[in-house]
Amino acid sequence: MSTATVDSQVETFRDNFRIVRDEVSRVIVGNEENIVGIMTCLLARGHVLLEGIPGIGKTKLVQTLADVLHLKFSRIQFTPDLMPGDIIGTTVVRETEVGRKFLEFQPGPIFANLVLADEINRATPKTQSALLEAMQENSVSAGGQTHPLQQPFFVLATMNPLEMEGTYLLPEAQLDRFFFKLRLGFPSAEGLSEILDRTTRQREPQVERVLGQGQILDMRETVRSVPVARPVQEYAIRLTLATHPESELATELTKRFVRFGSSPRGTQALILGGKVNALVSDRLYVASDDIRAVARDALRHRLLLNFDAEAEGIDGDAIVEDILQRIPPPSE
Amino acid sequence: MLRALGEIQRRLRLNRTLHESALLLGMVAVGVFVWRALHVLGGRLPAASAAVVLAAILVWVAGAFLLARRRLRSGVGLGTAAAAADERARLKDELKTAYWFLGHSRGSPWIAAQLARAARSAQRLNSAALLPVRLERHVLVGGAIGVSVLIVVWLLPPLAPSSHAIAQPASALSPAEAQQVRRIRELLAQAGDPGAAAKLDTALRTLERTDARDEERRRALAAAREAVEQQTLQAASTREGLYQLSEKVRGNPALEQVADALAEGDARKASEALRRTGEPGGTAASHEASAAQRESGKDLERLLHDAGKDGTRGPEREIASAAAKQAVDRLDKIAEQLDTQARLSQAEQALRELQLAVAQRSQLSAGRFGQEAAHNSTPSPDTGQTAMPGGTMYRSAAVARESKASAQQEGSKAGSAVGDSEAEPVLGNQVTALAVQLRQEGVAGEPADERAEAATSWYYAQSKQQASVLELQRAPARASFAQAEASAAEGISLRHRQIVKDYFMTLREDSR
Repeated sequence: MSTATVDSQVETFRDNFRIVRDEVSRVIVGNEENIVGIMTCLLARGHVLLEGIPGIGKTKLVQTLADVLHLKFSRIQFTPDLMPGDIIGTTVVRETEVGRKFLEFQPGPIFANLVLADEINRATPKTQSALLEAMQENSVSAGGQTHPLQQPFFVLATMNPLEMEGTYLLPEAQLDRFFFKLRLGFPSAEGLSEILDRTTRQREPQVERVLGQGQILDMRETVRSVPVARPVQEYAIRLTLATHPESELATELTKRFVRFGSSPRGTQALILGGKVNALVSDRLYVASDDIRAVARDALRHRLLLNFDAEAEGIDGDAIVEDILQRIPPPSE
Repeated sequence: MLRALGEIQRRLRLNRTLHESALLLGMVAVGVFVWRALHVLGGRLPAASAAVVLAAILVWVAGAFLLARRRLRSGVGLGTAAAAADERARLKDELKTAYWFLGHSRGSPWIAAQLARAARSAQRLNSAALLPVRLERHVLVGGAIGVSVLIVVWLLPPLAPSSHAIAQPASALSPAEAQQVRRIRELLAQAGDPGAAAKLDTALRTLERTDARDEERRRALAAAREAVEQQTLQAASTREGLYQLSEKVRGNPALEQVADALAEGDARKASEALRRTGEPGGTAASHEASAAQRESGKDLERLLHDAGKDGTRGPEREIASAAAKQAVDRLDKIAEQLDTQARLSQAEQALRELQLAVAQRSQLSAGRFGQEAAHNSTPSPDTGQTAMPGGTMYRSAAVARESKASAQQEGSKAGSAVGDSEAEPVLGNQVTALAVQLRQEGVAGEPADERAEAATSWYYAQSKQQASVLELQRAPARASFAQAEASAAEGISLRHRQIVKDYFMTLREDSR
């Protein structure tokens, strides 16, 4: 592979990324950061958890993304009575024409490239675990058989922070399976006006499918090729260690409000997210700024905060922000 | 890329040297500023001066330490140059990462592509524009402000210590005070005592200085007043001595008038009376006799005793008239001294008024003024004596000595002031009583020489009352010493015998 090939690969990546982003932005107003975040997760082989109040466009965002990408899409509305079999599928008894009976696996909605797990916190932990296991293993075990999931396999789960009655909060161990946790904020006045303009007319904007399965897989490979200098990698490690209250690098805020810090998955998310960010910025290396750019999304849901933090209204973002301010990037 | 980084490295080093030089100059400027500020504010804020000096020293030491540490710890390498170039050209760690890849791994085509991109970026860099060799604007602005402040502080005159002095910067004295000073100067011109006059003159010069601080003025005035008080005390002791002398010579009928005058303390009147008494033999006095009398120690009582003799023989007559002349001279001299002391005592009143004015104008509280003017009231561990205004309290009787050192101490200790514990003796070196020392010296030396020697002696300088007492004690001691030396038959002391013999041996026959 020559340097020209590398350059062309990067250029293709950047173009594809821009096309998807622009196409999604035709429907989704604002939230460009979240669009980039979702794309980053998709290309870094991760899954994303979207958190936001109802009606803010979480589902619409995912649906639009599915429309833009030429991928198989399925949506699962999580409810308390949803069973694991409803997600992963079930083995049914079938009968041949000659009357011979046999077991056949009927794949559930998880067998898709793009899975929208809507309001994931409304299902029971048992059902949530079934999905999360599939997310981690990229395969489903049913009836004594393992069924691999089709690649790319990308789960977008949404979660409503309000109406907590009758919900089942995701345990930290399961939250850790999500590459990023993105927060969708309420749109500004201009954004709201734009939403009204786009959605209250006779014809809503339509998107085209611009990216296929193969292109996405190629882009995933490109991401993995980006080199990381050791000082930058050490910076990501220092950031992760700083989330642990018992670490020497822990900040005062960490020591006061964090019970457990980020897992190694957090560091992986920092590096892989940084790689995507570098490629999007037309760079062939990961800079410390790339790590900083994805740090909030990658670490905020991986911190287990104590009661004091809850009492004082300290969330993961505040901790990560404090760490970013106090842990200096590599100087040389 | 390395060439570009090398150029940036060179510029970084130059800049760092420039900044460190500026920092060094800044430290020097801070030192000069503090020094000058202390000079300007010294009179106004004497108490704060020590704290400011301490703070300045601390800042200086800390600055020097930081500079040295920075110099030692941070070298400027190519990595630093790459980081600086990235930061200034906003290259997002491109050169820094490429430099790291260059030193650690080159195998991947991605790294090769990255290095190629970094090389292109480095070539595009204009290092002169990116990293000009100059001081930063804030350093220049700070330097300009610092220099301005330094110039202003340099040109500022020293602040006067009091608001009164600020109101009258041209003169340090008020008109009333200036008048007092003039009066004292006039009295000084009349006074003949050079020692007291010198102290007074020093005090007046200090008072007239515009930059003199209150403390200096008060100290100078206190010293001058002490000198004048010493003269007053000496005058008192002289009068007392004259009185005692009058009691001793009163038995001699020829010296009755002299004794009366001496009892009044009027040396001039006594001199006149003595002159009248010694008139007949006055013409017979000769230089040889005067020299002989001078040899005898110029003892006034002895002189009066000799002058009062009603001898018929030639030599005795001559001796009597020579002694009378000497006694008259001595009395005249004493009279002059008493006049001088009287004039100086007038100056003391003026000095007291001046001292009061300075004390009232001082920013120091009355309590502090009292403390500063007070003497050390602690007994000396060596002698057990206490220095007090106007003299020394002798405590030689209280000085004791232990045969062996106690468990508590080897040096001196004082008795317990409270409780029922037995008071311990005040300890110190075993000393000969001061009065004994003075008496021994006084007997051995000439009176004029004694005074000069005593002026340099700590004991004599601090003990005016004691000096006068000793002077009184010395007179009969000398007389008895001279009498003891003289033989009963000839009536000539052993010390004077050779002179008398020489005198008579050289006389001509006809004169005999």
